[in-house]
Amino acid sequence: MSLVGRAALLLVLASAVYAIYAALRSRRDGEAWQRSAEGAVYAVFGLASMAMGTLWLGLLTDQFQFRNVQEYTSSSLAWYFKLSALWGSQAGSLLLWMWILTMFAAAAVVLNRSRNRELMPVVVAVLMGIAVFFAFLLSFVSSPFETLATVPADGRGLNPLLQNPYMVIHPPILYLGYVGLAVPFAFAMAALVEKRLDSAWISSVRTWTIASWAFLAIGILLGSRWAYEELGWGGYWAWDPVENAAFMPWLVATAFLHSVMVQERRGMLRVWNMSLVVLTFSLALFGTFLTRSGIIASVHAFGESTLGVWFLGFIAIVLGGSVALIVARLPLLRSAHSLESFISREAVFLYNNLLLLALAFAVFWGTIFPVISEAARGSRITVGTGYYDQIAVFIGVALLILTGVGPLIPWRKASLNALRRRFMVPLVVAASTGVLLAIFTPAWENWIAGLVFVSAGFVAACIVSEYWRGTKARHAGKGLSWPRAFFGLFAQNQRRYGGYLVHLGVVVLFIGLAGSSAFSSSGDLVLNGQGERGEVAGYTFVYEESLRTSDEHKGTVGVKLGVFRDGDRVKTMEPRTNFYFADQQRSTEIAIDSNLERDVYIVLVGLSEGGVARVSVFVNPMVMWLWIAGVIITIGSVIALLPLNRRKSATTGVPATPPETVSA
Amino acid sequence: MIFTIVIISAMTLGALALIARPLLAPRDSGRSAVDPVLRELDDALDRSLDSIDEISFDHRTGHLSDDDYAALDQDERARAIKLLRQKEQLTPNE
Repeated sequence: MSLVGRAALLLVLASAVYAIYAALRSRRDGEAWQRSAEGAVYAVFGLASMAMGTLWLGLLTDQFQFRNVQEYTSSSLAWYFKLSALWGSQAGSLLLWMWILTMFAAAAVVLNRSRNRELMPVVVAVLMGIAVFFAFLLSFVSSPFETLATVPADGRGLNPLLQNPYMVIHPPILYLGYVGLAVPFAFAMAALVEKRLDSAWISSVRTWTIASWAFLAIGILLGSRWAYEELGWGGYWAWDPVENAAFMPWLVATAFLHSVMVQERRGMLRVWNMSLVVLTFSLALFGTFLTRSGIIASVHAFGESTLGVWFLGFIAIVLGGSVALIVARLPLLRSAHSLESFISREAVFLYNNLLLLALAFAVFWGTIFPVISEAARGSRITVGTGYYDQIAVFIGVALLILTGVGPLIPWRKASLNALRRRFMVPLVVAASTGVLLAIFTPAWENWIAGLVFVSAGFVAACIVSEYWRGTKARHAGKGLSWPRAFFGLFAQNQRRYGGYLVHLGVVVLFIGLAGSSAFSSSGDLVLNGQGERGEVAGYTFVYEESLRTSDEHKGTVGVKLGVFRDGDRVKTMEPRTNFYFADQQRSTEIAIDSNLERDVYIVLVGLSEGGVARVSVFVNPMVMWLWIAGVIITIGSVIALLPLNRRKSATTGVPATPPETVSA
Repeated sequence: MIFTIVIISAMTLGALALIARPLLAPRDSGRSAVDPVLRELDDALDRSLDSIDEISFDHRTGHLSDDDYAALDQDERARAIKLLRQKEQLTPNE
């Protein structure tokens, strides 16, 4: 079985090298070579799938002769955790990265069988170049099919922290986002090489970029949810280097998604957009490097390895090659127009881009500063969460406000009258929000949170007014009923109105972030015996029972706590601690009671033989809003991506939507 | 061991077949008969028509002033007409 896996990887390497050769040769020698290169891409995907299948089979059937199986599973592990153990290991996660890349490469080839034919040779060469790098690492540096000299009777088991449903789906979804960014990068490089620098390449990568962005966003939120449920410190985001590694490409991809509209509409920001694509993909590679190099300490990172230097070299090649290409094509990348007013849609997109990049740079600096300080001064200086919070709060609020402002400002320039008309209602809503919060809630006790809530009210009103304006225009222009006019908006312009839904998700996200970070309360309780009680944030916790159970895999201790508020029982909660026999590891099973208003979050710190329970209690307001935001963002992204109302003038010569307004 | 050799041989032969087939049989009947140049023109035309619709909708919803709408609409229509003419030259019988 090990031989099959190793052979598959070597064949991936050989086929990918051939694909590059054939793709580049096709630029001179024609279509047959191009199709041969594309055949090689399919072969690469099939072979990479074979390697994945082999490792999965090994994991599922307890092939403990594989180091990866022995170190990350045990015979008693549930089958779905055996499957997810593939990305629990360094080599396995690299294999997943490469497999997704080859899958996307094959999909890009299928989708462009009769499109972008001039670009495809370079697209194939770039994607296969990346595949060569990963296949080389997997074949010669970090093999997932390494075998042990003696076969142990059982495995060490999967880290208990990873035995969580979110860990089954979080890494693959995050990787779909990371790796998906390779496709826009490949098209950008192809456009540069072939000097086809109009907006066509941007249209070709739009779907890939939106999908990758959405996968990254959902992956980040799922990771936060996992951290919240598993790590037991009461929060969901700690500015950990690995969290930052996913956040940085997401920020730059967000900038790209917005600035690309300026290029499509006004022919501006061409160099900027090229640079953003390169930066986004380089940051995706940097994130992969960061998690694997061992240069940073993180609960999410893999251990020390020799992979770091390889990744650094590859990132240098990617960055160096891309920048050289952009510089060489600068004369062709000149903008068709220039900025006419600082109060225009394109200007707002530019501000949004600058803020996003400033935040990405600040996060980058904070992430690598410990490494730089160690290299320069010999001592590692860690950057605390205060640094990130200070920067992120102000840039975040500014970005939130721009989320509302941007769509309401006309292209090119805005008159004062138009601005007054557009922003009157949102400003009234914002002011009313501020007043209502002051009267009915303690929101203004933390002025930053108050500012976020008011901004959220403003942006929500802007978004609603945009839906209203669009619905009214369709109702008046086409004589549609109000519901048809509204729902038809999504089919008529999916990207815009799906995008507004994503904006609404961002508003909900900010509300959740502000509420949960500004008004969280916590306390540690020592409960000496049954019936004893303690109080945190207005809740009373009554020790009702201690629990001790055991099965063949693990022993469990826990406490049953009655949770009361104003004398009424709210919930009975049971925080626990598991001890896994196979790998001698402990994990906390946090008890969480969630609703829209707050989470009650209890961690069992210890339970003595005498029954004395020590628990940490957190009351975190509005955390559920974060997860709801994730759902809204997902729905908005899906709407933006679904092929609801695409023109199909293609090749038959008969447009599906007749060009009524154009006469030749 | 024999099973392993069979699998590895099958993988190798499968990859070779995918790679070599287009070179040995250049006129692949399974291939789309669509002319890539025509397809690219169609795609560009689709984008242009979408833009005309979007510019018009932006105007109706107040995102473009009358002057800007007229200028942008004129540019985009000119582009669409140019693409339609190019397409007609490629498909004179349709």
